Amino acid sequence: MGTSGNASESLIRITIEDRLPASVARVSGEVDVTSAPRLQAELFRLIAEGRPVILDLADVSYFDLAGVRAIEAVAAGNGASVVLASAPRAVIRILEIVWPESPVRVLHSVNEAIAHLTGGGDRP
Amino acid sequence: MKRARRRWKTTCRLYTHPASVPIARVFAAAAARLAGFDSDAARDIQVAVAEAVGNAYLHAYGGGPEGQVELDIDFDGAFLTIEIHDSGRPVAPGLSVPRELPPPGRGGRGLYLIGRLMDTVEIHQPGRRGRGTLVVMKKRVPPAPHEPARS
Repeated sequence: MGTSGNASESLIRITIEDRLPASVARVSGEVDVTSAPRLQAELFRLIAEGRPVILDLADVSYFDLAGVRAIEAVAAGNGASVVLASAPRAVIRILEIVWPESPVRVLHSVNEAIAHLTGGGDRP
Repeated sequence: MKRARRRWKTTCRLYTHPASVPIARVFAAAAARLAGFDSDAARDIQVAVAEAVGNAYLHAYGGGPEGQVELDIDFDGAFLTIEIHDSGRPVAPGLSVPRELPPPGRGGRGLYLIGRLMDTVEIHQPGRRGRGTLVVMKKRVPPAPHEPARS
């Protein structure tokens, strides 16, 4: 985990877990303009490792356009490599308003996301 | 219960600092809960305020160091009115809230989001004292089920 002492440190926590074939990034806390850059950097770092990334949002308590922008930035050019899992209502609501045609898949759970990535779960 | 009861107003003065946006949105969410919004609606208000305050810093002050933003919240017993005023450079004359989601890369998406989350949004340029931009947004508290409808 990063230890740079900026304002975002207290707002989100990101833990990484290997769930082959993917990496799971579990975010907890508040994704806003102060914390989204760190989320974005962490997602880019994981993508660069060459595995698809499941962004587990179950413990996100606040999410706004800054979070959408971070995910968009990572998905641009890496579209299929990022999927969202366990997004709470507050996240879904914002995504539906500002990014209704998102190419990023939103799955109900990490397990479903893994099934999707391994080719078994690509059904609506 | 008396009718002329639940009026209040509050103000938060924000300076250029990364913490200002989270402070502003949490302040607004607390006010929204006190006004009687449920947690989902208070979160909508929080997102709208984060976007408006973030815009003020980004556009009006270009991220510069000297920006000051006033966040005024007024509750009249039915409507929560939130005013966000910066004294920076006016963004774009005639700026209005898009009714449709703007195409990607065109800008205006934040304003569109604010418009979807609040009942009304107005943008005044110049704002107060002939300077900057004033954003006024309102949302009505749904009457509590046990409360007689007000006229």
